Amino acid sequence: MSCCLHNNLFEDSLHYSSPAHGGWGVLKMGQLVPESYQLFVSPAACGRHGALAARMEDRKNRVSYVFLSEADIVSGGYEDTLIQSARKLLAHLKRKGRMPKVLMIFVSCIDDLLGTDHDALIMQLSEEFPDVRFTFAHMNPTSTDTGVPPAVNIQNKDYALLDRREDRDCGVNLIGNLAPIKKNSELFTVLHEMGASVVRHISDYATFIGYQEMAKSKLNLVLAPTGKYASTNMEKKLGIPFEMALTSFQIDCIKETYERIAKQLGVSCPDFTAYEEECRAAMERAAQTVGDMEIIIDGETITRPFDLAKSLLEAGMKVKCVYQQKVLPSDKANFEWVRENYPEILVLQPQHPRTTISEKFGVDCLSIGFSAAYISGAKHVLDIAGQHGLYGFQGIIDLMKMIEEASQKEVELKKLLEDTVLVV
Amino acid sequence: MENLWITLPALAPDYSGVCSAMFDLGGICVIHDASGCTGNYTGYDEPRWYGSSSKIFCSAIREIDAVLGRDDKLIDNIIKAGEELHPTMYTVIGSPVPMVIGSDMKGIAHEVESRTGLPAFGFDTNGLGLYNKGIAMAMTELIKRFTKNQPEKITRGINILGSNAIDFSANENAQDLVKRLEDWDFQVIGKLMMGASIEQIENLAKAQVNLVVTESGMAAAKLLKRKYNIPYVVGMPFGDSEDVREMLEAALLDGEDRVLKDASQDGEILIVGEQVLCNSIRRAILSQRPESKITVGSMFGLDKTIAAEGDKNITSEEKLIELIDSGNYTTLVGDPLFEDLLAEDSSIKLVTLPHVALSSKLYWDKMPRLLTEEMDAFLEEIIGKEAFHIVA
Repeated sequence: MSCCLHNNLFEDSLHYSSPAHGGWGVLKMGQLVPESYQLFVSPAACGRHGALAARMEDRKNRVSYVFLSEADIVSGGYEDTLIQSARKLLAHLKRKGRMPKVLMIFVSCIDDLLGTDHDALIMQLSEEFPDVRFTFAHMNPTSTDTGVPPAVNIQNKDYALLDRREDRDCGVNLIGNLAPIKKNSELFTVLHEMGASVVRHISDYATFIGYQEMAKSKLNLVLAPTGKYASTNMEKKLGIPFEMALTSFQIDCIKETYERIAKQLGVSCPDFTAYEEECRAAMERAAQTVGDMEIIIDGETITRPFDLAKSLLEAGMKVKCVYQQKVLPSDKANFEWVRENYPEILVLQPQHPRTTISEKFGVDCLSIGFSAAYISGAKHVLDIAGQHGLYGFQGIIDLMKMIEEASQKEVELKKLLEDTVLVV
Repeated sequence: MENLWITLPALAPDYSGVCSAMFDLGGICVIHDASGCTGNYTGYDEPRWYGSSSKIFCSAIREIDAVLGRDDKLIDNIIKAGEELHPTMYTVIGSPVPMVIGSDMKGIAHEVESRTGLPAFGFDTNGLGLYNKGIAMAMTELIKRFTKNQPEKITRGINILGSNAIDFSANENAQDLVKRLEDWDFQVIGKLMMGASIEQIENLAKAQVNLVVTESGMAAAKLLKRKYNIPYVVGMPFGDSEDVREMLEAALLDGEDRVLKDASQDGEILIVGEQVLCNSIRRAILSQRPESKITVGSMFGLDKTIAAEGDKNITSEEKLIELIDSGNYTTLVGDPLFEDLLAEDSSIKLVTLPHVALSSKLYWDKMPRLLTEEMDAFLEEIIGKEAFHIVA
């Protein structure tokens, strides 16, 4: 069994893309903005997976495509093509009674190499269509190793559409999490106890004007690392400070996060003893139910897989392997803890080419996530496409329940994947 | 404005075609892209991906690599992967970014070959072309490289050219075709490119005739004609039509090429899809109901050798909508996504035939077995049960 822990950890290599690899994709993240429409301007191929994924989820009626020709790219006719296409698209949407409030113009990797003047194009379009907001967005995975990779950039673009408000309130925004947090999470109760008048998330809004209410909030909580850049810019533009409140499955981390939020809001922190006890009981139950079954954690599903690994290990569960392409800075301490205390745990890159020849070593294991299940062959799969919705003490309790259930049944992964829309 | 596609998704691109063609050959294929292009192929253009062990990878090119022209990094990573995976050969495949920065894919392949000693191919695909061109490019390069001159032909030896998972999907269509030819007493030598092997490609020149089953096989057919004087027949034996069988027998006798095609006639049925399959559907309908008025259209380019008079080269969504709305047709045959183009009050009947090149995984498990009674049911749906059974 090859293991990158035993040779070159997190090595640079060609990338394998398993049938379970992928996530939301930037198009869907852009479509979080209510009453927005996306116009992709790129070589035809670049738009194919996003369009098909949108069609599968009934979102295709909010995105159209301009397919560039080689002549468009080489001759510099790209910008004219874009303007003409935007005009034609908006005329079409107007005829259909579906004029958007926002037109998000997506460009792909090649745009970064061509130096398109986005500001000039936005100015021209804004003059022609004063009732529509225009913004450029990027589907440029070539930027993955930069400070502003696509998933970070698109969230910044989404929130950059908010305008500064003077009528501020005591609301708190949740930033970075793509899907809403499950309403049973104590997060909402705790924030209200801390004085928050309303807890806001982008998915709460059906209209662009309603979405603008997020600019009234007094604090942003960053629940996923990809939301930090947007929150930094929101602080500058909108005057909303932010606090990192990353999803964690460790009781102490959750407590510490709530304490920081309370401090930021200038209030005392509630007592969490009851929540803690409930959490510990849930973890104990899960450990008993799972027994000797080993767990495999998927970094494509759990944003900070070593955070979860540490939590499960401390609860007495057995972790066999963590799949993660590269450790996030916010998970580095957990990674180091796992390596130091459980050096036998495999740490594998899911996209490494050797994945294609590795044995299915995890057949009897429980995989938290699809990609790890596919690669390892795990028969027990926690049906969770992303950790979306799990947060706080209740997030731990819900996850433990899901682990218990998954440990008791085998699933047909292919069927699960057919019902899951993944975009690379 | 033809390049604005408001409703339909983009079609399967050229690099997916190359990968699809190389799928069975045991080589390492590398799409030189950041991730999305590979994601197109593995997630949306390759119905055989789940459970496969094909070694098709992404180069994971980054901005700094593009700016600095780090071909050396790509080559090193390819060779490093090869040392662990022991491939039969290497293929390096272009995408939009290499096009813009002017990467020399053939040069990269040459370098890989000189360092590994294994055959290596480079393709200047760019995501602007379509899958059928990618398959054609791959097939012709493989033939140029591997096919050997043969002193003797195999009696009734035949090659299938152009079978591919983007047109046939991943059901038993390719195997059904082999069986049909074997039932006709042919010996199938090359199954390009579903079920292919390098050994098969080496032996292609042993065939007495080639059967081209999609447009992607045309370039290979012409190359094999030119180099080894093997005649070709273009068509699929759909329905009860014996035409393809008769054309193959005739080609064996006189060595002449033959194409199954009939002039388009507006007025009733518009078939849009892969060119050879559409021609063959048209022939199958005409053999049942000769008075039918049928027009064939392709969104993947019209090969002049295959095209009949009046066939439509549908270069955009806009052009397809114009045809649908022209009033010239009462029935549209094609991909299920065409439904999205029909006006709410449209009276056109849509008979669906999924095409991976358009609707991908949305319908690829609904592709019928083309050489079984499932095809009869499909034809029956087009022309009606009564008309179908008059002759059948």
